[in-house]
Amino acid sequence: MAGATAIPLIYLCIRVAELGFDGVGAILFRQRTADLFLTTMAVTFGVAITTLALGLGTATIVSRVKLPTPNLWWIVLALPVAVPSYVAAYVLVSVRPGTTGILPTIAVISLSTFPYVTLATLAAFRRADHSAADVARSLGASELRAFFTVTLPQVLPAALAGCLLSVLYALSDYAAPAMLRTQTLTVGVYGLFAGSLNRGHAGALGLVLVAVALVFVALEQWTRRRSDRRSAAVVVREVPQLVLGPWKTAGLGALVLTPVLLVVVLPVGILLIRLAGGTRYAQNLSDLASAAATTLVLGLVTAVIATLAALPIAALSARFRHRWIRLVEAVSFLGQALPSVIIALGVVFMSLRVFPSLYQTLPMLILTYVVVLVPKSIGSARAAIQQVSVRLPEVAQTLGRSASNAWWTVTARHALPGIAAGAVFVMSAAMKEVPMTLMIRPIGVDTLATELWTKTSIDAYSAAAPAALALIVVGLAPAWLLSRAARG
Amino acid sequence: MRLRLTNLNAGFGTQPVVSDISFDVAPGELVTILGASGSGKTTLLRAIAGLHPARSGHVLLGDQDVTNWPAQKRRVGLVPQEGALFPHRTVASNIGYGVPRARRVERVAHMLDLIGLSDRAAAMPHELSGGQRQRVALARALAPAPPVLLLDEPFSSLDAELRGALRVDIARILAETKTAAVLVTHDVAEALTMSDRIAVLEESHILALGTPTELYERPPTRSVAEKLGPASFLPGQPVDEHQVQTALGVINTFEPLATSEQVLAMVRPEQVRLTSAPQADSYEGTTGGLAHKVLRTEFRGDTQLVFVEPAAGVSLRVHAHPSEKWVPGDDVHVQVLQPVHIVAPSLVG
Repeated sequence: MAGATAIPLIYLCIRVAELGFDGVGAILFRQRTADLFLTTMAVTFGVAITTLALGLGTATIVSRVKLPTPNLWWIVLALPVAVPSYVAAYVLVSVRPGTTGILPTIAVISLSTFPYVTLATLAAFRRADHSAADVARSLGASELRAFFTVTLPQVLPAALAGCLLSVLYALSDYAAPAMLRTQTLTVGVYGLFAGSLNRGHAGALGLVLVAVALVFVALEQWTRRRSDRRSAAVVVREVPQLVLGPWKTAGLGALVLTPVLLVVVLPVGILLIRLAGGTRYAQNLSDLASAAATTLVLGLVTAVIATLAALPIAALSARFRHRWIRLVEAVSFLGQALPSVIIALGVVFMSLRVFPSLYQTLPMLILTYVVVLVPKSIGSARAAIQQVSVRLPEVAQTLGRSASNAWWTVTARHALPGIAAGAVFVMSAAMKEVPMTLMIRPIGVDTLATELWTKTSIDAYSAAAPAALALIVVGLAPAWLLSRAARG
Repeated sequence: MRLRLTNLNAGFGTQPVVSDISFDVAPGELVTILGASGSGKTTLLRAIAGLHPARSGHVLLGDQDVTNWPAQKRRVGLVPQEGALFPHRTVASNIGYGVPRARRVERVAHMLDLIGLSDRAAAMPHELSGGQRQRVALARALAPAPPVLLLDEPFSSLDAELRGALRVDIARILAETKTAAVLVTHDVAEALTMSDRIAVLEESHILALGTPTELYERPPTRSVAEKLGPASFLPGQPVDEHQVQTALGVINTFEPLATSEQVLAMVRPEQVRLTSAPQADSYEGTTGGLAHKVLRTEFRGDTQLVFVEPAAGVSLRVHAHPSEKWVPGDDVHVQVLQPVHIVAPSLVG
């Protein structure tokens, strides 16, 4: 499985190498590439700043101000991730046809990904050592200065890690920028793949995208280079919360709710109205039903295969620190950082070369999903297995169980909720995936996401409403799991 | 500067956490608040620092009533549990946090020298050992030369050896800087060794306040006596003003008896000696020639604990030299070496 991410990348490089120096140069050093690059930078930096502002703002208010129903906020603030950016973009375009540009793209992606920052920051606030802020106050710092110089730096690494997820999402997002006519690198790569006679050109441009993604990962690593990750576990003390008057509390609560209203409540409301008023979808109800069935089956099969494939690696890497296991981890992490179009391109190149007959078949589509998503499974399964004490299966062995029996009946049994959560993430991600599906699906096979995509591109907005709602429902379970995991 | 608390009350919601706390701390003096976890120690410290609001009562620094001052204006030094160093700042930057820019470099260098960590100025907190972290936390609190220093169980995360060394260091530094200090701890040995005075805190009230010797030898109540170390309590009938009849015989009391009612005599394990034959007492008073049975023994290395039952339901705990070979069932005679302290008769039983 280690090769799962690496092999497509290698094929991508081989295919690009075949273009030769001049061929690659012709793609990389032209105005179009520079434009794509600049647009991508504008979108990613916009998303980074917006998600940080939204995430830090909401997390700070929720953790420092006494609001009613403290636990509900964790779930409410996770809800936006249930709305894929392209569903939000679709709603925007359907309400105001002709909306295009970088700013709407930034808004849509930021609103549907800022919970990564919020939840990571909330969890960090909970772990932060609040007596450090006490000390700062007793050393003469005002509450504001103590917050900015002592508390905020403690949660900033977590916020930046969450922000990295938003940025990587923005980099790999295809459907939302495409709907809003924003030419990012991912849109450009897909365009070259679908429209160019030589698909190697898409690969060459794809390498620029890979470089950009890696730069962002490196940047995030660099910012937390000197921070102390161990100190987080030291002192857990109840956060002293500000008690404000009813008007101020209500005002701040409303402020926190605003992004959720914009990206969840408002779109769902609009979709429901369309559903009630529209009749066009009734004409292709059977199309919709078959797309839903296809999506469900693809998601289930992908989740099962990815989870089973991830288990051995997760089991090994959770217990042993070995050089090659770390290499496997690094490669999986790379897989999570790389935009899915890149992996899809690699898989296409590989399949055309090795098993041409599989190209544009369902098994190939599922294989691609698995390759892209297996790092997610490995991550959740490893975390779940690591939380089971090594002593537990050891005790089982002293009570007469064999090593493998002890592993299955004790370790795997206790890690099951975490492994299952990973499977839910994978399933939902596969069900919502757009560019890979468009690139590799057999002709005539539609998923909910491609339904929404094709209906939107021909301006059949009402017809797409049921698919859009279904996609939001698909995202609910992972959003809930995300908030639960962050709450710990 | 002198710290003075008068009738201080603080709590959460309707729940009082500390009630009616009054004591003084003189410059250079270290007062320990001794209490179990949950007794309100940390809240009391936070109230002194201005981090927790006082419900009523006053906090005075010198002649200044600072009860309504926010923490940043009081500038009381605070060393929390585990040190709570700012994890993203270097040692030097931690120490310099509360010092005005103009004096920072010089002051940080001085503090680093004082704690003996001049070579670690650029280290990050996670690169330090536990003892080093605590010393940096102390230096950071003392760098702005605060009038009062508050220490919240500063040694609880350290191993015994390091703890001893750091106690000595802190006592020296506090004496050198003439800082009034309040230490909270649940560790009796720490309280007895470090403090000039100890305040025993229980259920939000101060039960007793005094020097370590006063509280150890002459605690006002049985409960305070037990908090400061193991002790046995023998019911006794006053014979005259200085003698009381107990299960060990007639023994002398430390303070004159003003009552003829039954009283409770406190016997610390090191105040008695076991012998196999009756001995002449080393002070005036007699324990008579009664023989008692050894119940059980515990070997402790440098000492040996022997439990004797002089009367039904009364267990006497004795520190014996480890070379004495006592076996359960042995007949022993108990020699009381000093006049005993009578705890308040109102708390008998």
